[in-house]
Amino acid sequence: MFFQLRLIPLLPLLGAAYLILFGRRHSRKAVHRIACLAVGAAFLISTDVFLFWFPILYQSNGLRDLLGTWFASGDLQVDLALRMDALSGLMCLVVSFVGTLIHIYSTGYMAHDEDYARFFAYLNLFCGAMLLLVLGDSLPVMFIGWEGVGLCSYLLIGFWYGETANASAGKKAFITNRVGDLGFLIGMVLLFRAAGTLDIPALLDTARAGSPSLTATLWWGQPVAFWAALFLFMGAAGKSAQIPLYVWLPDAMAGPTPVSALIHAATMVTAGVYMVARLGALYLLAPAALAIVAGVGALTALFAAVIAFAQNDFKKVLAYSTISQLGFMFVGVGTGNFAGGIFHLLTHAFFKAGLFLCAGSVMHAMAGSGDITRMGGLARRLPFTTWVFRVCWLAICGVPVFSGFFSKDAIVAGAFATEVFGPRLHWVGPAVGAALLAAALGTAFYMSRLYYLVFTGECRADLKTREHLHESPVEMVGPMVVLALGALLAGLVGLPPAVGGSYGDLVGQWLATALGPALEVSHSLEWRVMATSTAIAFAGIALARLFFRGGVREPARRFVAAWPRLVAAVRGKFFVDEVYHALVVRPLRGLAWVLFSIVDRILIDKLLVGGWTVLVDRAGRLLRLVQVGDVQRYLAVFAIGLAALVYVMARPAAPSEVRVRIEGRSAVVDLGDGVADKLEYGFDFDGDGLEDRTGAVASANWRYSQPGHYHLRVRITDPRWNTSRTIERTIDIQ
Amino acid sequence: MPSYAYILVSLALFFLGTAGVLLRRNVLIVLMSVELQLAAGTLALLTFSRALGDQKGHVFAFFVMALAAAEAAVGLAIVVSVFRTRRTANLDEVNSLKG
Repeated sequence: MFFQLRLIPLLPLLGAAYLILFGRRHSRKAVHRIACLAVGAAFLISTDVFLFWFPILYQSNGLRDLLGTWFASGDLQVDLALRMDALSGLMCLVVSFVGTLIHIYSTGYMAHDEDYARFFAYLNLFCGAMLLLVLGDSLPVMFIGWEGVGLCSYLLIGFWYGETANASAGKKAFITNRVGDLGFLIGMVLLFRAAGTLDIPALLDTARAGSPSLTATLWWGQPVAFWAALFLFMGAAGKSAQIPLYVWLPDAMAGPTPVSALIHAATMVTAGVYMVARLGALYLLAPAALAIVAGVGALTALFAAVIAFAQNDFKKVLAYSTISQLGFMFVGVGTGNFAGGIFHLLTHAFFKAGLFLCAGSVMHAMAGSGDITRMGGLARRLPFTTWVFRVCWLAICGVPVFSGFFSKDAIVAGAFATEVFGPRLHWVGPAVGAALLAAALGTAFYMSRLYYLVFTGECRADLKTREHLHESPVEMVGPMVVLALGALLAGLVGLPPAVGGSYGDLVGQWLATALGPALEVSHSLEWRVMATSTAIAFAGIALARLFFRGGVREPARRFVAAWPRLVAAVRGKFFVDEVYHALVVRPLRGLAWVLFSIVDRILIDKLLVGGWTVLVDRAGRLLRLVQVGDVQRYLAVFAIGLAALVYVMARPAAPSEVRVRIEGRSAVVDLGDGVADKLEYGFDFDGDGLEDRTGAVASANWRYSQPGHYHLRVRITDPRWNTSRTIERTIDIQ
Repeated sequence: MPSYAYILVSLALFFLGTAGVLLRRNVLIVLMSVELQLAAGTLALLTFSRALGDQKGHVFAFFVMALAAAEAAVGLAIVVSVFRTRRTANLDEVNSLKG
């Protein structure tokens, strides 16, 4: 059924397998043709399925492609199944579309790299894993994709593994994500225990029905749904770089820039948002969990935006910007405004991927350097890049008409209007809304700072770099222009009702079957939020223009001079990495040292390994005394042993069976035919030690005078050797 | 004469031989005692062969004689070789395999 679905993740995975195995044998041209074709085909198939089954995706649970039972154990049955519904269909289109564009871009960006085939193999593997994550019909299948994209992230961050810093950044990303994934696993187990299934549609049905298995109190007065949602959010916070697990994303910029655009901006890092939206019905059962999601999102949005103020690396600024924008998305899903969160995910995929590709293009021109203090005046030398950057910049700042404006407003307005938190936590909505407005101001400021420092004024690079400056080739500029168009126009699919009327919010209506009806926001609130955020966007841009137009200007210098410690703290990223190092890494290193020096060296090396050698050595020293070297003594032992053996062997053989038949008060004992002849037998029936019957016959009978519990003993003697054997039984006489 | 008399002689010979093997120090005597044991075995074989009217015992008696000849040849060769290297024929002085 709907077997095209399996092709969507399978084609990129096959591409990856082929390129890993045989990529080195092919020319660069063949390699990127295979890779682009695999992802492009996945995009075309997604589009085909999406358009062809449009009504079914819109109205029902969507299409399911069952590949078979993955595993079954007890009550747990997990099918290897894919499902495309309104939400996963939309995600599938975004992922495969942006993926294809970035594959094309990479053919230009990586053109001079030695490991061309390996790069495209990983990129294909990533797209396959991401599509599996999106399409997975059950949590375990989703988890495979989830881990797969984590693996690709690790592989691609450390792609240039020759430098230790890159390899460490990869490890940091992987290990930080492990912490989150532990939460994902715990959440899954909790859900299985409560609901008895891991299929997402079944789980959502259970949650929508408000099943008591999910609302029962688990720990500390909170229901199962709360804990499951919280642990799953831990996974989401790891993957989507939220406080406290965001630290890996800035370091992940060590990877090639197309990777930053695809994995660390447009797709993988949004997986957490997708997961929370996917399980929206579960989160709606636990307002406290939603409040935590929204709170963490708002805090992260604000915190990362502030850190981005003072970063001097092009990609680092974009990385903190991504963290901040992911915070926006989490506020969206955390206020029950799932469609709003996904809408921002969609527009963000366009403008942030575009921004990263601009970063790549700029770094390409700057001979690999991303230091914005050395840039400036690039607008004249890189005209296309500059235009793309301007569009994406205005989109992320939230200037009206650009896509970011509508998606950001959908989230902020939703936060002010939401009712999901209930009366006790009602203050959370306006609080996170206000925090987001502040973060939006920050966003406009740091993005404009980036724009003015890089593209205006005079170039501050050295002469050699300045002469090297050039616009990127068409295979890089092409995808950038497409993404810029997306950044410009993607907002039009989600116009708020106040602007677009009842049919303006296409995304919200499209996702309504999968995520529940879009949040109701009054028109007056809508207009107020739009006006405020427009003012905020222009204020941020104006402030940055005042500070940084054409280079660092006098007001900025005066600000730094007035608040030196504040600026140092922001520039040092509030020293979160250092705190984590002191609180987590150092104690773990200490623990490792203890384990090494005590458990490993003393317990294992000395006791368990050395102990046995000592034991064997001592035993050998003792046993060598037996080896006297005197033939006659050996012979004497041999003779004694032989005599003992003969004695044992000469005993009568044990009877093959002993039958005791009881008839009323009489018992008949029969030793069967397995006993050799010429033996003598003695039978003691009543356990008094005296033999009641003797003779050469292997059976005897006895009549008891009264019922009871009797001890029966049979003696078998071989008179030739004068050896005997005794068999005992207990019998009950009624 | 009844068979058990022969068996008693055989037993006596075997124990004498065993005692010689285990207790005497001189290698040559030990080898001779082994011959005594073999002779005891041969006698028992012949006795049972006659008593049971089965010719197989006689055949085995010949086998034992051939074996005894071979054993004597190998044993004496070893004794000569040991005597050449160690200048002794006393068993309790030949204990270089002591652990």
